[in-house]
Amino acid sequence: MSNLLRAGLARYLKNPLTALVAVASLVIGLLGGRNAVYTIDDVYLIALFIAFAAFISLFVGREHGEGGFRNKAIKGYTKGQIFFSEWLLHTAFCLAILLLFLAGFAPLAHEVLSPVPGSMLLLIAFCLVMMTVAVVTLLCVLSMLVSSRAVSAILSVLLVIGLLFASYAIDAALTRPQYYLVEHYNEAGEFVSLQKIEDPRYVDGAARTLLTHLSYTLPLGQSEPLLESIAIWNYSNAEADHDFSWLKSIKFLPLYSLGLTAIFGAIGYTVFRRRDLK
Amino acid sequence: MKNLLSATFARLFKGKLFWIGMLAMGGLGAVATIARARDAYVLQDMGYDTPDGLLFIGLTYFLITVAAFDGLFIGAEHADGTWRNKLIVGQGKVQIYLTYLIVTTAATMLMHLVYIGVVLGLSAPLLNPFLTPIKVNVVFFFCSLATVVAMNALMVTLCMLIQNRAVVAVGAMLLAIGLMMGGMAIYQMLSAPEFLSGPATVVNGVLMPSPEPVPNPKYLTGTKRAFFQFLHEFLPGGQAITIGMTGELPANVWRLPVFSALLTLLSTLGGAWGFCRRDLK
Repeated sequence: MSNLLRAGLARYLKNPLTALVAVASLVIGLLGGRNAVYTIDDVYLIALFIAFAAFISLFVGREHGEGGFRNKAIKGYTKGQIFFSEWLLHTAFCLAILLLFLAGFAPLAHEVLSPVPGSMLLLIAFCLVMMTVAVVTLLCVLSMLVSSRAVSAILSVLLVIGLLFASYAIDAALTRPQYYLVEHYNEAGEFVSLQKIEDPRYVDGAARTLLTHLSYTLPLGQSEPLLESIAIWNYSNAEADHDFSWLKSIKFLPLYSLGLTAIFGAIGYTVFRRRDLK
Repeated sequence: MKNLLSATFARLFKGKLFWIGMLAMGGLGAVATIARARDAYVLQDMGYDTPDGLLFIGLTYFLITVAAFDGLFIGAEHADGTWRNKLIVGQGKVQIYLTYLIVTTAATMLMHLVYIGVVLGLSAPLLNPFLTPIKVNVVFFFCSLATVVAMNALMVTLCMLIQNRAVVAVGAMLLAIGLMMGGMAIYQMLSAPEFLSGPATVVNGVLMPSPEPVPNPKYLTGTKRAFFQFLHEFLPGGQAITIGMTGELPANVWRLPVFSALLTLLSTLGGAWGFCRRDLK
């Protein structure tokens, strides 16, 4: 197993794509830090995850295309070891890339980060690390199971975009107000009354609980409370005069990421072991 | 050229990729229209009962479909050695390039038309007629066709110049996302208000007037504004936003198809020139 990791490490360090993705993540971090107002815009996290998608799909796809997996299997390594070593390498690389992103982001976003308590910053950083592990697991499983390099590259980028749209859709459903106001005017155009009507699309009860859990499970759904938890310390007193209790839920976000990683990692591991390596 | 075209069209219609693209765009149109019809049903008299704004909104995401389709369709030809085979039987490189441009343009145009057809077909029984004047929709329709041609020409150039199929696929997707995000960022910069005024505040129960508006430092003026305005009108991402999201004809709307034609011409000339100089393995 250590040989697999050593060989993979050497292969990745030699490839110029690694340096390219590292520089890209640093630039994304610098841009994110420069443009940070109240908090980081989630568009920079999405750009980072798209860089992960390109990086993982191209590297794993190359192993598929050049018969690297088959050669390792011939050498006596089990498919489980091959899967686990690839996952471990990509997780380590992507965490290093995340570190570069934060190194670019943090100094420029000092004004935004400084009001946030240290313990909260540490918690947010830990949540980001776990979110990255979950995203890398999803992308790694997809790339390991789709043998065509080009198809897996496109599917990986589409997966990140799909996660983004799914989390936006859930967020829109959850933040929809329960009531909307309709203003009534007479024929002369004068205001007569204000009618409060319940929005039938308002999500309530079990559906709301389910959607909330789903939102916390999706990596880009987690970004909303995480980034808001930075913003909340930067609002003026009048704007921050609202309920802070939801901040408690942030503590549980790493568990959602862990669950997602475990489920998809196990599915990928099981399916990859049954696959015929051509 | 005729043989090349008929062979490439035959491969297009036989393969799954084209039909997946048609299904994806048709599905997007159906989902968007049904969601609007649901909103119209539950929120009556709230202005959700017409298909306004739906007809061209698909264009804003269409870049991703074009990138995925062109990246896989053209990349597969290169990986299978088809280009080299065509050269061996005596076809010219310019002919090969133009064949892919024509076939992918037709394919992406059909996908775009399927989206519009599904929106029109479903909204007729489910929603009320358009409030947008028909002239606006007709003009935007022809502008959207020109934008689709330009999007496709740009992607074909990229796909024909990069030899590696996977790198082509990733490059095309990144270009599409870059154009989409770039278009949105430029649109936001151009839409920034010239003056900012703070919100009205309540002090000791008395409503205080809003502070005097102050000039917005982010408001673009002069040459900088003209430059970003040009980029917004020239690049497909910006054109897609103008056509899909604004809902009203901009001044000088004729510039959109003219810029699309210019982008198509420039990228085709550049792409064909680069392709002719390439050594096809």
